Amino acid sequence: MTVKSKFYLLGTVETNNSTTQFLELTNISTDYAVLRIVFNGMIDHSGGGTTNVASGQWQQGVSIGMQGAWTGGPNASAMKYRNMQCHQASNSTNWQTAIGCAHQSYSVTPYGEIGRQYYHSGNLDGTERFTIEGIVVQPGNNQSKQILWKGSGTSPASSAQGTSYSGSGWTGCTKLDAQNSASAQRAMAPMDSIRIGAGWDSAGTPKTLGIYSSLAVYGEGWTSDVQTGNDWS
Amino acid sequence: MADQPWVLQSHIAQNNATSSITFSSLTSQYCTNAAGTTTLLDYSNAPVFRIFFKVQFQTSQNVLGSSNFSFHGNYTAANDFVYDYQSAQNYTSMSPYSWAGTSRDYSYSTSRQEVGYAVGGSQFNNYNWGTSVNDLDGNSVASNSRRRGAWITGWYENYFPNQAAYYPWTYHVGMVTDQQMDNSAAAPTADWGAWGIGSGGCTNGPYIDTITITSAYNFIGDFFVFRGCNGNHQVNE
Repeated sequence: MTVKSKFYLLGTVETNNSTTQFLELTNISTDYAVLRIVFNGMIDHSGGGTTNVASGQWQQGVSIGMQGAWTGGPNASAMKYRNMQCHQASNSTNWQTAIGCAHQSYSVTPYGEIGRQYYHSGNLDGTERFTIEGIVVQPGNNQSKQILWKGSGTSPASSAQGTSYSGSGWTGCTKLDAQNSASAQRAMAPMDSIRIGAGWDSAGTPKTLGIYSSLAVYGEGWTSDVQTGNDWS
Repeated sequence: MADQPWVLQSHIAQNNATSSITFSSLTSQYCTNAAGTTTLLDYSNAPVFRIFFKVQFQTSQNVLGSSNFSFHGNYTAANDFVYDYQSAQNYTSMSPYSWAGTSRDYSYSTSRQEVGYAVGGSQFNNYNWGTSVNDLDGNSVASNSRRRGAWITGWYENYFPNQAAYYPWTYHVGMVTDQQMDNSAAAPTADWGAWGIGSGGCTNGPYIDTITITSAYNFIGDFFVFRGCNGNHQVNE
């Protein structure tokens, strides 16, 4: 077996307005040991885009699409996600976990999600910004792919209101369902694309990302031993 | 190519089920820059140890037990650790977009670095509820193929520049599954996956040139060790 110390920024994209719904990187090289996905930015709850989010409510985090499985994407028919998201909130003594996504009634969802946060109209731009990063191990092999997320944000405390509802940390996992016949083939395919969005409100209206939100993907390391073809057992 | 400070030092591709893997001699190997100069990957020159892995446990158990997935450096005893987790172990419900966490679920001990409550088995009875599908190359892949099982992703890391102090492991592990691991037909159940975040050290000595990952259940997977250096000692390959 051979390993190489091969490290590259494979792509980056950034919003230059507050009306962008998605940031997307496609045709990502999967010839790496690990891919690292980094989102840095915010969801513009203030109505800069098309949102109608009310002040003083918990809001879902960013939406996640992978492997081209999103509306209008090359593999839209594979939009069968399994998502687990977790957050630690200051109004609770414990971490909390949910399966799936906001506004979805079942565990198989059309996108993934992470980064639950509390929105108050008095929040400062700076306190709403957050960073999440995810890793995919062996992004080019023949097995189902999973993104492991970690991140932290958000402290909506520009005023006295909302201070009991800060969030401090997130973790979770996102993948395409590897059993569902609509997504299993794509789940085992290379992890070659990522789309991070601002999500939708309860009425289904798209939210938008704040200005200077960015998405980057890094390739980290290379190995000669990558499982390809059919099952090795 | 430019020089940079990160090294992919080792890969263990564990394709046959085993109960233990070991990275050895991690601080006695060398990296090389573009000029051909070598640097010893000892604690001072390469203080960051970063382990990324994906793993499948070849068992139908939805709860492995905390000590049944663990790791350690040079010493198998006196590893203090604590981690928060949520999984079938604590019976906290996981439901489609219903946030739940009934108490602070954590485990603490002083043996090895344990994360067993943050993972689950990959051969639970309902995981292969799908049918055979063809992959992009036209191969028929059975529903119970390991290619389609429940994978766990992990990230262990520490920074130890050879101080007279404990090294601080941090770890972060998670899995989401295609079906409940306990054969439940409907939500809520705790068995949609598992995750854990923790940290630890070892009071016997802060030495980790040998790192072992072990389980009471056989596993397969890919395990990588990256090293972060105190300078641009490695050519970008």
